[in-house]
Amino acid sequence: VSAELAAGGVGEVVTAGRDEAAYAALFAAHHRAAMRLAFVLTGDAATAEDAVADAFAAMYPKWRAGRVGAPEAYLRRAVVNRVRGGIRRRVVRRRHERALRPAAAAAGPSDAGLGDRDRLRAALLALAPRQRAVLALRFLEDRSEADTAAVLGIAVGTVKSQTARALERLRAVLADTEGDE
Amino acid sequence: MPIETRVREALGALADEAEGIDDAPRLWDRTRHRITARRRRRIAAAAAGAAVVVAAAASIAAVVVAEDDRVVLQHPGPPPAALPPEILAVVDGGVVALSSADGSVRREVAPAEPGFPTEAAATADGAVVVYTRPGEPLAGCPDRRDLVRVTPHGDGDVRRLLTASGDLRPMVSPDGRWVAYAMDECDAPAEVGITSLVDGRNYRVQPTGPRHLPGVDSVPLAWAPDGRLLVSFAGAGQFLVSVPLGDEQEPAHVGAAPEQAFAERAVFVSDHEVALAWSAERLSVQDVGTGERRDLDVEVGRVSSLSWDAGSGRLLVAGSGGLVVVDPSGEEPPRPIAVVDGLTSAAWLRPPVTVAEPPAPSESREVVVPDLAGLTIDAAAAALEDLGFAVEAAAIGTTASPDDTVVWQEPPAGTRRLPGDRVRVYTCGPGADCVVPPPDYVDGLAAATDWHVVDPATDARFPGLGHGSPDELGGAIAERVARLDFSGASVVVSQVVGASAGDAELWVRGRAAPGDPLVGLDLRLRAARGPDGWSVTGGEVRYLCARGEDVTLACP
Repeated sequence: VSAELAAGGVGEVVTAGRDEAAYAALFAAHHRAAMRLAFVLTGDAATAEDAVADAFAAMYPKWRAGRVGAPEAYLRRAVVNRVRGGIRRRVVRRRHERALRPAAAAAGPSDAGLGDRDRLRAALLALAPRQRAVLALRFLEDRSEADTAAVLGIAVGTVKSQTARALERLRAVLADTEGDE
Repeated sequence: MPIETRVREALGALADEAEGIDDAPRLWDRTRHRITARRRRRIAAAAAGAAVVVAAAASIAAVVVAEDDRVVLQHPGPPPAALPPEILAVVDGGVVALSSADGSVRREVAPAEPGFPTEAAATADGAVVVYTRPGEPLAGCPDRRDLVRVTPHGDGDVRRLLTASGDLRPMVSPDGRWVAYAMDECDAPAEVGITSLVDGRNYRVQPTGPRHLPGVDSVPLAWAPDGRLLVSFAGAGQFLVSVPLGDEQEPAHVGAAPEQAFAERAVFVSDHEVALAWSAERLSVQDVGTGERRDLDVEVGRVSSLSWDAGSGRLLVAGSGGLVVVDPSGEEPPRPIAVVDGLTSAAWLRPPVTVAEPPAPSESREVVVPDLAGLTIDAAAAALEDLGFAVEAAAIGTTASPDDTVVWQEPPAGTRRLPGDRVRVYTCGPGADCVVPPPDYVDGLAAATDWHVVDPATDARFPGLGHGSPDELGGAIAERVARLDFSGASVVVSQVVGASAGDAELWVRGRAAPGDPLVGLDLRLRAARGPDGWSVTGGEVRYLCARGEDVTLACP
């Protein structure tokens, strides 16, 4: 039966584990970079792990079929795509967490005692998701504008404008805090 | 230090935080688990396809299933319920598409929005699709969304319903007349809006009275089969809301919210039970009245959409686990179905709609409306009828005779209209003192209050100009028009475009006050003569607004 079905196109009827060791090695080589990117994009450990595990799982069949030439590039794009879907959930979760700690939330976040680095971190995480993705690819991964555009599926001009806007915003945050001091 | 350098350092520091949480063995375990789950689904889907071939060739009824990596033949169970043949699909990159359930035929109904997590919903027959796209940001509120509607089988025009911050997550009511959505205006407490897909009326849902507005809980919205909307309010519990929500109506409290956890999707599966998808990759069914809940023993991964088909009694679950048909009774095992490439969410469409391409627009048959000024009514009528227009004549003055000549026409000369469209000619007798526009019409304006504002983007009508329309969109229009009025901007009747003894249509042109983003507007009013003179019975408004250096029709 298996042979008949395989002839009918069920190409996946194979013994598991044959390629697993090789894939584990690939995972070991790339998971760290993937997690760094995912965490910067989400600011949330669980969502980042979700995105990374899902990206590796999605790549596996293509990798086994010999259709992944550059695993690193594939993973980067897969992580970015998965994070897009996860962002809304994170927003919902944040909202929920706010509701659960009304007293703290009512007091409002206080900048007192925060250094520039913390403010910049908070401002980075408050950027619109696409702006953060652009900055992460440009300045964390040192990708060119063209590379960044390709990964995000947007125009190079959009990469430029989003970068400029994001930097402008961060610059304003820092200027504000310097003005306060 | 340049900002780029500081950002580079901050991003590096943020990424370094990931090192502390990167538990490689655990992450590998999760990855393997997902690889196995994906492989099972792929094999099952492929084997199900192969089973059709086997069954057809050998004339035997057989179902092929995959367990681990073995493929076995199994005696068929009860015949599967007939599933809706088509789905509304949202795929990576924000493309909204109508698709046959097997993914073989697909038609995109909305353009891609790269990098934007689009949410979509449709009426049960797929005639109207609503979805989100990036909206105009506000200061301090960068992540706003437009909620727009499109009629894939109609004109295909994309019309904006509203812009708001928040996930929105539009849900269309069972009768297809309303869309509900959750919004949070820039960290304000979340609230629920309901907009009519028929006439654009808007409501904000509140559990008790107009002033008390606690935030809506994260438990998602769900439409009950009877057309009421299930909403959870933080701290206030769960309510079923009748729609439309009149002032006198109190939402029905149906109990506590499910629990303080992250239900991400909800859909009614009977008149009193709702299926909930949880962030912890669980699926359960909860009785709305009793709160009693049972977990479903299915692996569906992280769910991004839930859709219920009452005809087959099956849920369509989309998410990280692919696209799976789930029987909430548990009698039938979950069935993966062929996945549209890159699918991120999906909804059943029933009854079937035709996914075939719409007919290509034929070449325009529009005809230029001729200049009729000075012609007698007979000559004008003959000229119009030769071109295929329908003629409607109206006389100013006390008598109408064949010698009357045309003094106004609508539409004006030079515009293009389709044959069969109505052209109104407005005549005046020779030597008669025909004032255009007649003072009657202008006087009638001052007393008129009972007319509608029509938003050109949505065709939504809002009654009560300047009287606080019940929604953001209407309110904004009313406010702008009122501001024109109060700021001394000129609002004048510029043309009477058609009239008869009993009714009239007028153009009113307005100029905005300095600094107003709205630089002008055209009002087109319909007026009728009653016992007390003329009064305005209806109207439409068209905007001219400045955005940068562009001046465009229809805003915002």
